[in-house]
Amino acid sequence: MSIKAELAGKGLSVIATKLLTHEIVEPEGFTVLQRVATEISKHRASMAWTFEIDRGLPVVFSRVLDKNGRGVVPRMVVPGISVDQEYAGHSLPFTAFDIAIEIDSDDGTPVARWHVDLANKIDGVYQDGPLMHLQFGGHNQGFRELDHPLKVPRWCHPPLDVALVCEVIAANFFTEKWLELREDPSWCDAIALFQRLCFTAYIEKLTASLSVSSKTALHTMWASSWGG
Amino acid sequence: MTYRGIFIDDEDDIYADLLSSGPDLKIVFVPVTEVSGLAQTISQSGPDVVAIDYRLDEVVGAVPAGQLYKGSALAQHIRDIAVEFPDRDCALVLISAEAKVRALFDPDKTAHDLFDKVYLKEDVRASRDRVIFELSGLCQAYIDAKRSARPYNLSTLMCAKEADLPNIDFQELRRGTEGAAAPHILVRLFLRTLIDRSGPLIDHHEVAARLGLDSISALCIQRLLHESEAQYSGFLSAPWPRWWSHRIDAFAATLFGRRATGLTATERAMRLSELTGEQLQAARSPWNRSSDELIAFACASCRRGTELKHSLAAYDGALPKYVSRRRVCWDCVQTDAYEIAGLSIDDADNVLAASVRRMERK
Repeated sequence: MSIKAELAGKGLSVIATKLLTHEIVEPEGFTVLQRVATEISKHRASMAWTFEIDRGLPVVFSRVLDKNGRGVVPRMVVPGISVDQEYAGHSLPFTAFDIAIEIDSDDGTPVARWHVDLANKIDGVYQDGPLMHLQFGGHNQGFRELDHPLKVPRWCHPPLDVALVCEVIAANFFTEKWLELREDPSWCDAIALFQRLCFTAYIEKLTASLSVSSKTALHTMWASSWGG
Repeated sequence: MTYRGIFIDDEDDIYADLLSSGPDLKIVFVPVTEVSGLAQTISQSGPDVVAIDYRLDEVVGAVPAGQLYKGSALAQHIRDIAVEFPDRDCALVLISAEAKVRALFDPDKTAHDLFDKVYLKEDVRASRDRVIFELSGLCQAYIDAKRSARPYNLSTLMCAKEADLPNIDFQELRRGTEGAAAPHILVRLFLRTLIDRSGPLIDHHEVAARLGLDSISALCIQRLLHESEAQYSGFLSAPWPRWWSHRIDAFAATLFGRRATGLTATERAMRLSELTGEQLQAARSPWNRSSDELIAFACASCRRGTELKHSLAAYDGALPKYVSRRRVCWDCVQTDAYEIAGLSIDDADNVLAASVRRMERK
């Protein structure tokens, strides 16, 4: 079930090209995705790789309109993802995971920010929350005053890496185009690869929790329980 | 080595002398005669470079009035011969007055691909040594291309190492290189998409922006950059020095412990100053003059380092996948300087551009 880096890189390159062809991602965003795809590919047969998508050069998606007709631009940044499919700790194939969707208005003001990340571990102790979680807010670069005051809830959520976040953005912001994309076998093959990487261990854990009546699923998925 | 060339003009012969002033290049002036015969004569004489003025039809000499032609017509004949006889191929450049280039050559899009480079006569006078240096390098590139086995091999031409191969593995680049039927087709592909544009290769200004330094300060860390082994040494690297983009990124990640462009220019300049002992100047946003911005690339117009937040997309037409789209800093938008650089704003950013011009943006 493990995925070689070379295959993951090629898959991400396919996704980048399809997003560009469908004008879902801007050329600048494509260049970043292609850069990451190439970096991953270079690890060849390895089952481990690390990458970053910084705020200076994020993946920029095409401009869309909000419900009031104002322009907004979705972007994706990755403070860091480290894949290690042979990791001996928790069963997820990630030793670091932090990815964010940031949406800015036309004048550059932050509108919304979500991130999916692995619970922080400080001095051997996990923060409260599910090991892998979805959270609203976080740090708005240059607009700290707009940082959301709440750090919760942290929703129990499977990992979504770059490819899967791209599909989430495509499906939600560019639905008509995604309806075409999802019929494209090359798109589906590439996405399926990252679904296997991200979902397999997570779903196994969640499914196993259903047969244990003494513990709630959320308890099982909680960082201090799952992460040990 | 001294490269030999020909300059064709209907009036000025001074540029042949200007370009022959050093030991590297000897250019002879050839007056205008009937087009196909002149192209044959030029081709058979085997020059390393042919320089042509755009207007060859202003002074009636040996050509009957009804058969006058422009530089592009002669260039087309020379290129046609080269496709049939690749060993006779040579560098072909346009040298014309700025007014004529702007008014006549720029709109003549079909002629643009015929010439390797376009030089303004004003630039030849003002920057003669640079033009001679570039022309000499171009001549050598043609000699190298003629000596290379065909079909051309991209990685060999680029002197790419094993680790570089994924960064140039693009179908259109590979096929364009392998399918080049003559040296000028190869030179055009390299100049237009690898040398003149950011992509697998980047120029000094892009390197400076990625490292968060102004272009002058970036010159102070040349030794460090050379140690990084990021310098490009392949085809056309002599006249137009470039750097491998991914090697610069890797080098910077080693220095900063993360991707460089995720740090402010100030943070990067401080780290580099500590490392080199030099007082390096951080790049400043052309818009707000702050060095606390995430300077990431060079403005396509002024070449100063700028950031995504305060820049707009330039219109780029159909873009090969390995080429980065050009962006223009808000300062150049506000002053319309980008138009002088021959750029236009992408339609998608036109509303924002208007707002920047009205100074409604901070």
